[in-house]
Amino acid sequence: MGRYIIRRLIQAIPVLLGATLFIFAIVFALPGDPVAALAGEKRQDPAIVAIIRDQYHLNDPLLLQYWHYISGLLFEGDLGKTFAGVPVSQLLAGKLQVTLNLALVALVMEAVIGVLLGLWAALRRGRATDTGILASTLLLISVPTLVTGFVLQLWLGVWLKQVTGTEIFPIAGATQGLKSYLLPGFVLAGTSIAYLTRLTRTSLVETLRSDYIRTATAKGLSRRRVIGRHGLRNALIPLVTYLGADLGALMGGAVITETIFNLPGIGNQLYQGVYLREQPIVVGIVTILVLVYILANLIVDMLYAVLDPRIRYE
Amino acid sequence: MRVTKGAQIVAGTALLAIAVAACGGGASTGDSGTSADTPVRMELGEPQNLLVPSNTTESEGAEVLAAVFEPLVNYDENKEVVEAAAESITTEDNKVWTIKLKPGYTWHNGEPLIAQNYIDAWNYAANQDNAQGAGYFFGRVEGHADLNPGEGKQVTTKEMSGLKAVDDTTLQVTLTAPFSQFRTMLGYTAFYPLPKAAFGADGKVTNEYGEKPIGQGLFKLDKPYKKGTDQTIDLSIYDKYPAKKPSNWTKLQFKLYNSSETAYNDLQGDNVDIQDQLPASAIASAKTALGDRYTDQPDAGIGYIGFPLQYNDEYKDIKVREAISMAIDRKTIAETVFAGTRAPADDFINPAIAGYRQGACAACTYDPGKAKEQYAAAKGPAKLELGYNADGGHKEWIEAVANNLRANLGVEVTVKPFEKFANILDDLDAKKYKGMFRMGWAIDYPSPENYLTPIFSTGAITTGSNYAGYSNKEFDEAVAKGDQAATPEEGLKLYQQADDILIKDLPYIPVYFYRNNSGYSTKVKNVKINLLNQVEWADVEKA
Repeated sequence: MGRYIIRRLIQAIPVLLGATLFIFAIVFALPGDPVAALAGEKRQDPAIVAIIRDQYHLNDPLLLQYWHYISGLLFEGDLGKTFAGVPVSQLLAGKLQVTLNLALVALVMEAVIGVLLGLWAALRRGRATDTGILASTLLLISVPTLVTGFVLQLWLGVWLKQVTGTEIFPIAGATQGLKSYLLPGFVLAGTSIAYLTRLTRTSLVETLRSDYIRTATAKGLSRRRVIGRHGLRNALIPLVTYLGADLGALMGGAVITETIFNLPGIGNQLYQGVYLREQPIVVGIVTILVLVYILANLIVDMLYAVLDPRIRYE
Repeated sequence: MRVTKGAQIVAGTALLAIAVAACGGGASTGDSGTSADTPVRMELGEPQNLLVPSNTTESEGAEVLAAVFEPLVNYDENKEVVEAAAESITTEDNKVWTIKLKPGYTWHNGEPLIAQNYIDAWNYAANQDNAQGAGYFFGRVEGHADLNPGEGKQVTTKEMSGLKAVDDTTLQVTLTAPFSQFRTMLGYTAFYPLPKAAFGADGKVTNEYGEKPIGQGLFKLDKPYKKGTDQTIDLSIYDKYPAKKPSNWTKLQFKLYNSSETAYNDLQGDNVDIQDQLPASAIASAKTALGDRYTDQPDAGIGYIGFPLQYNDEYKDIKVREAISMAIDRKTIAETVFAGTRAPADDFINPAIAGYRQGACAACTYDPGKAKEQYAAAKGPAKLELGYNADGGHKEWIEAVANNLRANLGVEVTVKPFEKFANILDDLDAKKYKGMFRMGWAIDYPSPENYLTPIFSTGAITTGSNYAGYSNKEFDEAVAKGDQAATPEEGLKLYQQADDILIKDLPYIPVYFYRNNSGYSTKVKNVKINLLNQVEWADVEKA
């Protein structure tokens, strides 16, 4: 077990190095001068441009620039500095927290709502409830986040506050603890809820047709026990896989939600970083996302054993 | 080996760790009521840099610094310059300026404000080794060249010879040439002083200072601003501030937003009190939703269409440029494409600034018939190209201009998106791009001169923003005369003469003037925005 985890973590090292070099090269290859992007629309003094370029090693070839970055990271734990002189580690620490909060709220919402709806639909297979749930998930999938975000913000945020006088769902910002994340979390989780509902339904319907379910029913177990213990538990494996992979996707794909609800997360920072060609920011965020993916996958693999005792490691 | 237990523990611990981490952030700060302790809240975009005046050339950082610092001069409702931290600013010849400081101002750390603080700050800003974005503001000060020997050359001194502290409260500035508008320049961010505490052992402004700038103005920062982490910048009134203070509130909070649409929703929910630029999508509804809490006033920016006059002779004929100008339906563009957030341009000087003359530019009037005739007679090019930067919301109006030219001149028009404005500049510098291009100008200081010298003077081809490469001796001389004028009124007239030359030559085509559309919540009143687009905090009252 311990050996297995260590092996998985060691495997992560080349993945991380490869990912950083890859992203570094991609940002490097983007057309346009990062220093020019700083000045807006006024012409810059060439002497000042030269000094800034020199300061950030922008005249060096790609591999040397990468070496500056990675050696700082490995030997001094330094993620570099932005053009504004702010350490990237400081920039990311706060934003990562916000994005992680948002992604976890979304993850919990999609797990709870998705599984419950899927369960309900599966047990009422072929009836009006089932059709209704399937139709509404289709709706949820087809409406873009941008639309749900703005509409819910206007209705449940602005309008509800104007009518009731109290802020039930904060309109924007991340200053009110968990409450701030409910609406954005739901918006972010929207499509995933729909997918998960459908996945749960299909998986459970499949499982309920298995021989061991018939056996369990035949030996006289209660319906609750048959579905909960034998059905749902076995149906959960594909769901856990989906949820694990989705955590990374939620964190990396939250740009729109973060912008609409003014949550200062890494999504917007990533956009800014790419826009301003700030390699340290982009590489820093991507490295963290890769780490999240690796960890989430590891946890998912661990959970398999919990759900299905037949699965072993080593 | 069965691993169920172990796996359970490991997975459980990992989940718990994430959950604990997730609950760490975000303390609750509920705000309600209108007692003196709840802050007045203003919407702000994230400042681009740390809060150092000499490196702040964008509006968001400047807005914060304007609350923390007292400028030497301010601008009143009649667009006139009035002394603020300065007692008097005098000159005999427009070349040697004497600035006397008003008594009573102290830094937020208690030290008195002295003339040397200005000299320290300005020398630091102008030195090329410090790579400060606002260094060019000091280009007219004697000795600026010594601090800017050019790329790859060593700076040998630390001071500009034109700056001298006569005593603790008197500052003498010598310029390289007479410049009557120098007094007007002094209200800008770049001219704020710096306290001794700003500088580190290496003589550079420290990062700590940039996070918590010590000023001598109305507000002081409550705590360092951690860029990237903090969502608000919190300030309180500095007790020893000697000038006018707000009557019924003491705390100011800037709330950072990524999207102005989101900020506008928050404004409607009374979660933010002042938004100084409403999103275009909200303008139509804002008038009814906000009522008298919506204001619309001229903003000093201008949008143009430019020509690469320097190396493309196709546009050399003034008649061609005039015809193109007359073919553009500015009014429709301002009203429909921009939903009224712009006004049709009819001068090279903006209505927000003294010196503007309504209808001065005759060729800026829409006249498709005359345009077509004149274009054909002058044998204008059969194909036109319009370049714009795709990152700034310019596509729509450039397309509209292209449609105007197609319909009214009967020519083929292609539009060319560039990723950033800097890419257009690069191609112009390399003489690679032959088409017309979009250009915009936001003022550095509210003087008509600022619409002339930096964009159209011969000297600005290499050092300024004269991207057209326009050069006219007559124009240069007219501006120089204005720079030497004995009184502001006389200067204004001379600058208008220079403006007339531009209107005749049309090196750029002015298309629109910006407008400032702002909104306020029900919790504040008497919000005024000055010529630099900054809020006059002392006048703001809680409702």
